[in-house]
Amino acid sequence: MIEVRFHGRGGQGSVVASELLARAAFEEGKDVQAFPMFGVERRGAPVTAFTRIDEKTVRDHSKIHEPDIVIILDTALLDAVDVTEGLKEDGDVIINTGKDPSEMKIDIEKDADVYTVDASDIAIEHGLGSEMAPIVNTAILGAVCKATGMVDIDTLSDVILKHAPAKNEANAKAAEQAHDEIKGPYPGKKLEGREGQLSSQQTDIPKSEDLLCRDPEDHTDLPRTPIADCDSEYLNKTGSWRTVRPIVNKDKCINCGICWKFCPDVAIFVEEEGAVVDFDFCKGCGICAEECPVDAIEMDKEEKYV
Amino acid sequence: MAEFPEKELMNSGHNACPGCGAAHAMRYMLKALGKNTTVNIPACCWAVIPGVYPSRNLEVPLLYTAFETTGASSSGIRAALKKRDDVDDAEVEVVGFAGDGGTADIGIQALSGAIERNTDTIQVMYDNEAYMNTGIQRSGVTPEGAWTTTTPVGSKGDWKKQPKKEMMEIVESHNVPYAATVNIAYPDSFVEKFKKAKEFSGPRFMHIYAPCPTGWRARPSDAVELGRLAHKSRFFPLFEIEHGKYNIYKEPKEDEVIPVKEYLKIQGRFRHLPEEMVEKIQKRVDTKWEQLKKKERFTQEELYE
Repeated sequence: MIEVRFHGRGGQGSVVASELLARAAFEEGKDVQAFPMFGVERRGAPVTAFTRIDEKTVRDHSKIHEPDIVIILDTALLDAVDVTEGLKEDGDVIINTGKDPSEMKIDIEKDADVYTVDASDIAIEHGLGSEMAPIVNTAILGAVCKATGMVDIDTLSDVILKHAPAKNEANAKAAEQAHDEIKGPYPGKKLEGREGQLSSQQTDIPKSEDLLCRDPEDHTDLPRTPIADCDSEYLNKTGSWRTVRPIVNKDKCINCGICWKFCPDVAIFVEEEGAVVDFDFCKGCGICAEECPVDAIEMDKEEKYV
Repeated sequence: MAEFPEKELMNSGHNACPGCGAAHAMRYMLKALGKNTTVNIPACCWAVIPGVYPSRNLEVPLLYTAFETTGASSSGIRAALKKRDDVDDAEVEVVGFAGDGGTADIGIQALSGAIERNTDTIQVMYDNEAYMNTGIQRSGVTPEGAWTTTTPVGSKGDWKKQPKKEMMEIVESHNVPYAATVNIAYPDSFVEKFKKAKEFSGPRFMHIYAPCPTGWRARPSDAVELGRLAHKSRFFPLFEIEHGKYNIYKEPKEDEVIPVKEYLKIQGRFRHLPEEMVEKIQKRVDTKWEQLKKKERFTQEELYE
């Protein structure tokens, strides 16, 4: 059995990607599962999706805890989420970035490999999504086909043509281009297929006592109601949602406070030296840059600062 | 103009989409009303935005209620405050903070009841013009011509056919002491009007224009600009009703007024509209504006002098 975990953000298409991959494997006669996991978060929040592929019936219906393959749609997530959590010793990590695999600082076991592909650029080239929020899901699947060999690129193309929600031809072309442009593996096993793994034993299903905290000491004290305190500033660091970040030009800033006034996340403050952004919480909406009367704030790709 | 309060009662670390107008709405409202405020929230985006237990981002007491009960809950909270010896209930502002669906569609009975019973409360409708929390379904307040997931645009042009429900008129006919429309693009007058509402007692109604970049298919960075364009094009006029007297404030000067088209064109939800439909919307906006001007003149001069 091959287990795949996708890390993306709401709106990038991780869920559709997990489904398309499963469909392609199904077309090749495999038994498959595809399912997402998310909370109540909004556009931009981290999302996880899963695909299971096997030669025989997949009977494990639990969340995937030890994936063979991790696919990362957005490098900004590398700081926010433990993307390699539970990754198998010989697992593969496929990342959407313009960088070379050797430049990626990722915590993996020695037999694991890293691949990269600039799916964002490919998506923009094919008109998928916008410059700020490219829809990279189909492009990265093309790269996954090449890296893992678990599905044939032609099957994937067909599935995208038939089942992608929109712009089917552009999506299929993006997948094919990413298939050709993938970089890796690093540190350097040769490209080898995962076909052999398909009929292997299913992994152990984790027991529920491993997942639940039954010990009363694990629980925090309940707050008094009506709720008068708040902890969101410790518990919910929304800075991880960001795909672009505001950069303040301190020479231009006139300390007018308009950015502070219009920030929906209360994440920019005016200090003596100029506006200061709280990157723990800034979601990168860009209102500050839009509203700044002296154009002292510019939005820049988050990827450059990770 | 009133000083813009610095104290933040809404904190960072909430779950609103980037560029959320409803987040602006809560932030400015709490700045104006201060910490002696209780907020009750029905099902709406704000039921999710404060965070999942134990995370929450409001420094004021917060009560979640069922979708249709915002008004009734406000009445209940006010009654409970009156009963308590340890709280001076005259010092506490009870706010029902509901979206447009929870106010104008599902919650309208409870709202009407609360106002009719003369409950001492501020009922707030933050208007993002659809059921955004559940995935952009049309509400009675969604404007004519808009795409939503339940008014999808196909070859037959199945956008929303019905005009926006006029909540201010519905509330006005209940004889409230104070009602006002405010816009998140103008934080100073937003805060000023909420402070004014606080001076009154009895049922008060505030209609907040809260652009939703996600549901309106616009860029998050344009959230404030959307509010500004809605005001300048007279699509969402700013006015207050004080004991039946209309007063238009921040009226855009003749040379500042822009065609509604300018407002419509930066939103994906109106992208499909043919020219004649844009003209129809413009005509409706012009008529509404004329009506509003006449109401202002009538209530200020003829009716009361």
